[in-house]
Amino acid sequence: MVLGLDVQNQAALLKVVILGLISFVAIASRLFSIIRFESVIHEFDPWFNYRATRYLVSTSFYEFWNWFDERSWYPLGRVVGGTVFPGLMVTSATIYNILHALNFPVDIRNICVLLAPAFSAFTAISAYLLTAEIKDSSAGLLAAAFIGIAPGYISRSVAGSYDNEGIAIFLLMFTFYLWIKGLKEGSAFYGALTALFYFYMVAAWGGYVFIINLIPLHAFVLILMGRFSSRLYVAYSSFYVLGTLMSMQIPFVGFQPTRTSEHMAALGIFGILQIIAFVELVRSHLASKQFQILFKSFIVFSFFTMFFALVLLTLGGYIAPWTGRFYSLWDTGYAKKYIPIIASVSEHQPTAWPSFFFDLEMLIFLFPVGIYLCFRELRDEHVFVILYGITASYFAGVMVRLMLTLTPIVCVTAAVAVSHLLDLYLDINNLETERSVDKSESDNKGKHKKLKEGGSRSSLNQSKIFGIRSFDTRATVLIFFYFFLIIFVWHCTWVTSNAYSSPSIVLASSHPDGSQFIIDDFREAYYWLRKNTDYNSKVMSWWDYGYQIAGMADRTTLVDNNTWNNTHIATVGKAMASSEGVAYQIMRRHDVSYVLVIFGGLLGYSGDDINKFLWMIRIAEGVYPDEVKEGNFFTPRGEYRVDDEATPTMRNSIMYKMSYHNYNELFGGQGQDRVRGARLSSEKIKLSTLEEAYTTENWIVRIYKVKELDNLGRSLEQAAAFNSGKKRRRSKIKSTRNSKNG
Amino acid sequence: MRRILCIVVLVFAVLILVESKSTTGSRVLVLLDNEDDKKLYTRFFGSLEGRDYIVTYKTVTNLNPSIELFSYGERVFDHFINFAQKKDKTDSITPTSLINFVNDGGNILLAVSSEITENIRNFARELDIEFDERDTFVIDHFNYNVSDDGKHTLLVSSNFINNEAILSKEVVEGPPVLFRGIGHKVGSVPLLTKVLWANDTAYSYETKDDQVVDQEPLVIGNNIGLISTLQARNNARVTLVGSLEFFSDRFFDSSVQKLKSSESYPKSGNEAFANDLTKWTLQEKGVLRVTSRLHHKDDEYEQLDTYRIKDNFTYTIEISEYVNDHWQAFNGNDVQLELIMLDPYIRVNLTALPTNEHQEHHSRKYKAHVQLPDVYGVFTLKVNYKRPGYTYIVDTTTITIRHFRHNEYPRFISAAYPYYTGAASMGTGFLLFCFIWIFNKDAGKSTAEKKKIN
Repeated sequence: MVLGLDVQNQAALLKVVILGLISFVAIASRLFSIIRFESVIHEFDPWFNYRATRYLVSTSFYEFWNWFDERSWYPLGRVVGGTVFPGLMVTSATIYNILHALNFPVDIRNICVLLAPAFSAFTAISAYLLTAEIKDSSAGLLAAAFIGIAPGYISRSVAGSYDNEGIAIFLLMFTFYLWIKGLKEGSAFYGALTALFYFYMVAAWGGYVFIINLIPLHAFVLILMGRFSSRLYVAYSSFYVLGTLMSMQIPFVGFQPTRTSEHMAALGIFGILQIIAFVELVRSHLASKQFQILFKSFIVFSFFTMFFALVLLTLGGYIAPWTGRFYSLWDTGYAKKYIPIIASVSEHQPTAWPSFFFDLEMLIFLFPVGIYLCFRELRDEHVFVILYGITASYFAGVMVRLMLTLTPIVCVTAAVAVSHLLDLYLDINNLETERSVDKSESDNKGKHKKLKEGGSRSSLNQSKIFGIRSFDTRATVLIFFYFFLIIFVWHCTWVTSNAYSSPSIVLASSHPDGSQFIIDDFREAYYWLRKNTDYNSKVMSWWDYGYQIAGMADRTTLVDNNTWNNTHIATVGKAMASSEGVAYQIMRRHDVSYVLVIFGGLLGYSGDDINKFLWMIRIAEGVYPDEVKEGNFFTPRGEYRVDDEATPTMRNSIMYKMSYHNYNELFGGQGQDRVRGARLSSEKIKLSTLEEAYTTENWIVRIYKVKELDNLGRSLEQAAAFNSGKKRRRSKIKSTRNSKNG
Repeated sequence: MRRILCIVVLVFAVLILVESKSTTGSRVLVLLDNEDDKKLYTRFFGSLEGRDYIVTYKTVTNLNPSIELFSYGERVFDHFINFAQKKDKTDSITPTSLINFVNDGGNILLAVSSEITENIRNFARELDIEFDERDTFVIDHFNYNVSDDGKHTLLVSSNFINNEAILSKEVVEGPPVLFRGIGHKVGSVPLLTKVLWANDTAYSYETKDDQVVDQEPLVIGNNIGLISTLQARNNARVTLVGSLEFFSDRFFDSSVQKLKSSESYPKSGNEAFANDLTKWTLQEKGVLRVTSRLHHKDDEYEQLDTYRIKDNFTYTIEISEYVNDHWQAFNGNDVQLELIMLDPYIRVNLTALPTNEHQEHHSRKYKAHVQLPDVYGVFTLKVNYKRPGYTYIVDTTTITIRHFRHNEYPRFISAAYPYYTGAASMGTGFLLFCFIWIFNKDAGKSTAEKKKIN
């Protein structure tokens, strides 16, 4: 008796304490970014979410719902209320309002910064609940611990990474937990709760499509396995009907659940379930032979009816065919060919193999073991885990960012595997009884213990002490495993602190003596814009920086990370890829007053605009194939170069000119581009329609001002030539007469 | 006390007196070759001083004090009249300084003779005006004055621009003007306006005694500009006159009679012409301004930043014109309003409203009613009024046109009545079912029993 509690209560207390500690660790390990840098919003998308949250907090919910943002996508504007998943903003605004109602005057920025870590604690708890449903609570605790520190999830949920995924993974896990629970108990209540959290998920992240396809898939597989039951019927029907109705309340989703192919599977399964339920009812009233005929003809008939209905509706345009983003999930080359804007995003690239290990470490090896163990039991919930594991691992292989959806299930299955192993090897009491039952189980345990198992198989029958149940083998296995677990924690902490805690708006490097060197060019430039330009001036930049300019500099942008209008982005790409004359017209037409480019050549920052330039050209070529040609930017030998051999088109493009303007002067001759390892042409770069307004300390951000039309009606080129001291040539007739007279 | 008051009143009175008739300032710099030249143009300078300008005379030969258009980056003069033909020794009047002067809003009247300096020529070239070579004259063997000395360079021209903003009716319909000097070619820049040009029979060439015309002249016929103006985008005005004598007392008083023409005028049109030209150049006429602009929904009076698509919308702009020392209502009736988002969505004529003479600002209201387009976005309301002779009006206001709010859609639409009926009947049916289910216990038992039997 500890603390006067019996064993059950002790276990409950321990669980609570352990979960509390796991939550604490989950939050703490995400605070590296604050300690290393400061409490800032990271990266790109979070800046929009932050700006939207501030708008929500400063106005009202209905204002936010109807928000027309005239300061982005100039001059088109963006209907934010109808194109945003509002869950994240509403969540933080709710927290903000509650705290302020309780007289805690917390700044909204701090809430936004710390939201993702807070929700990671909830994720750990929901992972515990889900795994406890699948195996038992000890496996649940392991799963909670794993997901608390797994880098695959931390990458999107460090403090400051204020993005939809931060809360969406929690919602994903919790929705699945509720679904399993509802399915197990056949409870309409849990079905409705599933729908409720599904609604929250729809409000929070576009990844809700995963749920609305995975749950129907689960139901479908269960039906195929002959496991149709009234529990499935009740849970699925209540989930689908309520969930769909609620999801349609989000303006961005609207009528999609009834009109797009992504949602049709859920509807189809709903229909099949009704039919089967009806058939079951009929069967209970009919003789079996009659029934067989009726059943078969009915199934065939209804299948064909539904299929043709779907085809006809798709052809008739009532159901939208699969979207491009969806195709790119099946054909990884699709996006590059047809939608360069999707392919240009680095997180949409296929995943490299090492990153699986980097993000999941040993869990990726335990993942198949856990799947195998699920096959061993194969109750309804295990089928779910298997399906989730298979689909998520496929998607994670296709797109880097979908590693995020794989991580939870890997944690769950790995926890099942580890817990199973510990169950076997730590259980000292009922050694005898378990052996006969668990023999085969232990045989097939981890792959990495095959040798030992091989030995045990032959020796098990002979000796009770020797073999896998003996003390020394147990100790060896357990010590090794603790070692693995410790290494896992070690790895996770290292990855978190080194790879995933950089805010990316502030870069860190180190001096030769090891001291830290902070490169804060982005904020320097945005702050300059904020303080030195007119509030209504329009800033043109590549879309990557749109959200940051809107958030940090508070200036109107032409395009941003929302990428809803490909033509507008292509227009900006065209301006960047064209010569000054063409670009100037585009800029005048869009009232652009400043142009911002990112240049990494001096510092060796490889994520700069010249490296992204090919994507700009490709996207522009997609819309303006006659005016922008990718081939013109490659040398005859097919190389993309910036030095002496750069093509004339390349050298005339304003992107090139803005990047390297005055760069040679810095070196007093020929400039050296440290990213591309190239020596520039010594020719001086002349700009007549743009003038340099600001260049940051390390030259990473360069801002140019677009000149007004010349006051005297000259072309800007002539005006610039005049200012640099060149007089205009006389007309030809004149000079000939001159020479004769002279 | 009384004394102080007197002084204050006096100072104010002087200030009011000193206020010239130009809208952009009264400080004029006149540059001459030497002090004696002043006597050649007494009538011209007299008219300037009579219009309350503070005229500073400087000569290129006397460098004390030196000529500076700018002092510590500030413009020292509002207008610059150059009658000097020689190069100033400090070389402070360069094309660059002149262009800076114009870019800063200063007006320039340049009178040149055939001894044009390189600086002036280069400046003119930046305005897309090409003066002919040094020592050339505009020659016309058919349209010269009877008092010509045999070289046929004393031209008689009445090829005036018929634009009331620049030249008043009296001048256009009045006697022709005398002109002797250099011609120029006017380029294609849309900011340029030819005010006086030569007759079809004129050409530009040197006038040595035994001159043989063996080269094509730079410019011939009515392409020869005699007086041309450029109004820069910032409304600063530059006037180039190819003849210095044009402003002289001698030409002002001279009689005009074209060769072989019975028409004879006792006095040339030069004085009236020069007056109008300086008035225009020094921004005394042809100056427009926007005094106010207002936009609102048809049924409201508050100016908003954001309107909804398809709102009925009223735009009003008030424009006044500076005429004879005071602002009065502008009389143009071709002012247009554009509603632009990348492309103009709407372009309408603004209706000129009748003026009320008791209005404080003496301006005319122009008004338009439009229905805003069915497209949301940031629109620019642009009044882009550019007519030769008048200062440019480019007045832009940005408004946001937003989509319908969620509660601005019609609540009940007739097309959806089947669905309303469906939902209502479903709801009623469900309630009815629940009612029967809950309160009809016997039925429930009997079904349960049935199940057991099955």
